[in-house]
Amino acid sequence: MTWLLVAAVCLLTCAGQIAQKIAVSRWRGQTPSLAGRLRSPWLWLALASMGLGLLLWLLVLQRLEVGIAYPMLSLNFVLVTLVARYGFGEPTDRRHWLGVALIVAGVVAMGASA
Amino acid sequence: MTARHGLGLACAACSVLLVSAAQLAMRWSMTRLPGLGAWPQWLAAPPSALGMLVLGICGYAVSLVCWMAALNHLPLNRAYSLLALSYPLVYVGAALLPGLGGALSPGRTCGVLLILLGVLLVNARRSPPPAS
Repeated sequence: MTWLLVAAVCLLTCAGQIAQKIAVSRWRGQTPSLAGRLRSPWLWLALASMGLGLLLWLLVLQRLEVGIAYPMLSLNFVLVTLVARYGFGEPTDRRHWLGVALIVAGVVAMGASA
Repeated sequence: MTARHGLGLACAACSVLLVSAAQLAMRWSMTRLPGLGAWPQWLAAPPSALGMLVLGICGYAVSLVCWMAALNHLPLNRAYSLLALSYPLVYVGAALLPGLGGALSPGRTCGVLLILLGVLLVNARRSPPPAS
């Protein structure tokens, strides 16, 4: 259950960042008023993901040492890499994949010693 | 180092320190508060725990603002590499500061170092294509 919560926080963080990126890219080239910006559904999706993520994160912190749980949020870099590669078709070099493998190995090592 | 770059580094450093402190504060308070399911009991919870939770969430919010300011002045890969420093910072802080119940162990230290190295590799600037 605790690991599921950690995974959900990572997914929500990643979703929030993608929604943020889309919201900002829609504003590019124009300067919408504050009211115009606040009408962006992507902005609200980003805020909702981050808010829910924070709530679930507090649940994680009730069950898991922060020194173990917090470094696990680095899985976000793995998710973002996968989305960039397979969602947006951005090129990913070998060094990048090695980094992803080290992050996963590190998170497994942290989980094993929890 | 340009002034713009220096400002970016300062914002990133603030963000890293704030987010690390916020994580420690949130952990400290959440171990002293009843579960979220029993939220009505939160009103009877020690004020220090609730106060620390509010401080932690505010610190987290301010760290996000510093982060966005840092992204304005620094290249993305540099900024994210700096963010990775918060992982060992929280790990060591949770073990050394009182009341957090964290502990250092060889396995955990290896894990944090692997994560740090991994994030640095993911964000390493690509080497320029070889000159022909």
